[in-house]
Amino acid sequence: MEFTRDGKSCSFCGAPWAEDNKLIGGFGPQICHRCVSDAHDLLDDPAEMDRRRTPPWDDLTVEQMLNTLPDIVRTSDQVDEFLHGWVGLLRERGVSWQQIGLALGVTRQAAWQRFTRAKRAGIAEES
Amino acid sequence: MENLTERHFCSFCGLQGSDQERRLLGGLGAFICQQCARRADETLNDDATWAANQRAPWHDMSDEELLQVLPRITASGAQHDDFLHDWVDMIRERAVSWHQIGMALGVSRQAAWQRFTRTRKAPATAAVEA
Repeated sequence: MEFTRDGKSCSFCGAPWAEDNKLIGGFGPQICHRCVSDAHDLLDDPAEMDRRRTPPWDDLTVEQMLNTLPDIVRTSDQVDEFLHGWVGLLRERGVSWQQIGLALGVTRQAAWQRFTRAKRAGIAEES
Repeated sequence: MENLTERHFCSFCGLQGSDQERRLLGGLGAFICQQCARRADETLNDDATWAANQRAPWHDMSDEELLQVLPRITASGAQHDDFLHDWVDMIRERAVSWHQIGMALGVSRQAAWQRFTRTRKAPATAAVEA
């Protein structure tokens, strides 16, 4: 599996990787420098966290929700691609479907089916 | 759609959120906990740490370690996918048509409908015990 941030985007704001806005990866998701700084400040401020208890989407218009949708789809697909990359890596090392199934608490067959089906087509790229 | 820390887990370390000890901040389906945010902040702001992080961590991991991480990745994906489906449900509740949803994604009405009315993946309950 290639280690690259090209084409990746922040799973918090949707911003693409850029030299002046680095990304750091987790279990598939990425977070950008700006969001890390914001999160860092916010999470250490209990009062502000309490103010954010109201779900932000309650105040969004339909247009705003629709505008956010492609970013959610793209970052969701990003996790899926990472997952497939990870399984590909295991298979390259000769790890059996049985072992992969065991790690996931499913049968050999279920693991095989899940990961050998064609990768879900990126919906945003279909047209 | 609920906004509860206790129901979610960090997409970076896999640990369950907690209002007392591990507050979470959500994004577009991903979550980050205060501990991981602090670590990421340090990494991004320190050139030496950043440079040391420019190598794929999986190259140095054993097969066993790779397998241990696998359920965390599937859980993170399921959590993200769940958020996406909730988002589409909320849009649909506001009487937005599949045509409009498809337009927003640059795909046909049919393609949008197919993607989001298929059954969801397994629920994202596989958070690692803290």
